Amino acid sequence: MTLTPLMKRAQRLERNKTMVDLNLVALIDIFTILIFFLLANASEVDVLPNTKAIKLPQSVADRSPKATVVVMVNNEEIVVDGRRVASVAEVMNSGAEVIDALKSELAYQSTRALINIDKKEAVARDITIMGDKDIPYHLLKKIMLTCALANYSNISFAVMKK
Amino acid sequence: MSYRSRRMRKHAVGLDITAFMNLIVVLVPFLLSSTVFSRLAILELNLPASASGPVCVTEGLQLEIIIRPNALEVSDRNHGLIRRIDNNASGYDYPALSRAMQQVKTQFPDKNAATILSESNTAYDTLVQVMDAVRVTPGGGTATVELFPDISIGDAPAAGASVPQIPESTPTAKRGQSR
Repeated sequence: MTLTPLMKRAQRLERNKTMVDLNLVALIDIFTILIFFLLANASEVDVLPNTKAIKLPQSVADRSPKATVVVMVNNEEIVVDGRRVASVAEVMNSGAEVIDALKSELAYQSTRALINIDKKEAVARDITIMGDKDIPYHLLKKIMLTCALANYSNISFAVMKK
Repeated sequence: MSYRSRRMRKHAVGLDITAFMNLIVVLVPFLLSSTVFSRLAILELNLPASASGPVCVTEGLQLEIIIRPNALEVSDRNHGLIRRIDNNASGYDYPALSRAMQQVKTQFPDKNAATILSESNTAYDTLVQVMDAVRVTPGGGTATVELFPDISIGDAPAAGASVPQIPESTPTAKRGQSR
């Protein structure tokens, strides 16, 4: 069996080739574990919106959040389900105990609620307040009072788990 | 031929994992970006419906925790001050409040309700920390014991006023928050 020069060259190359073989086993192990961990974490859908504008206080509470109307309050504005309803400065300056803009927004939210079949007025609705940790109590009180008047009287505070 | 087969045996059988690696490399950043590392939770407080009038119970323990700028006051609405916890150097003394709450709980094991009264510039964070101290014992996991989980919130009486006078002095609309 005679070899052409080209075949000889190929054979020589084959023989002298030093295989650069990356050992990827450990990397794959890590990635596989990481994927399972992340998949398990991602399965729980976050109900509450996650914003950088609000620093929630920390708490040992372990009740998981429910899908409700969310009022977000920081030191600048009051936001209901992503819609800005009032500025905090105006609310603080006005002497009124009830925030009218928030009240009308909540009334609108209650008309578009899915569970509106039995129109019992007495049914207390759920609401979640995401307040910045620095907001003063009298602002919080105004918001809670407005929520209670708009028939959203099951109030929960959103907090960060410690 | 014998040389060839010997060489073949020496080579490890290489699995082609390129496709798998591609998948993983894409999936890991995607999942990492969508993961929320700060877990949220909620603190529930149930206010009475605004229609129901103020309820004045004059019997038994009506536990109140009043947040003052420089102290936390634990008191009973019907019998007055139980304990005053002055601030330490780092602010409010939540561990001391927690100990006081545990003492009260041992005296009244079947009480679950407490009212937190705060002054108008009390920070929300303070309120939540006080709620935590009143609600459960610190510890975490199975070690936590519920103390007074039914928490209501209300206005603090003026600093000099005696505690039992809040029900009369607060308008009904405001009282919707304290039960």
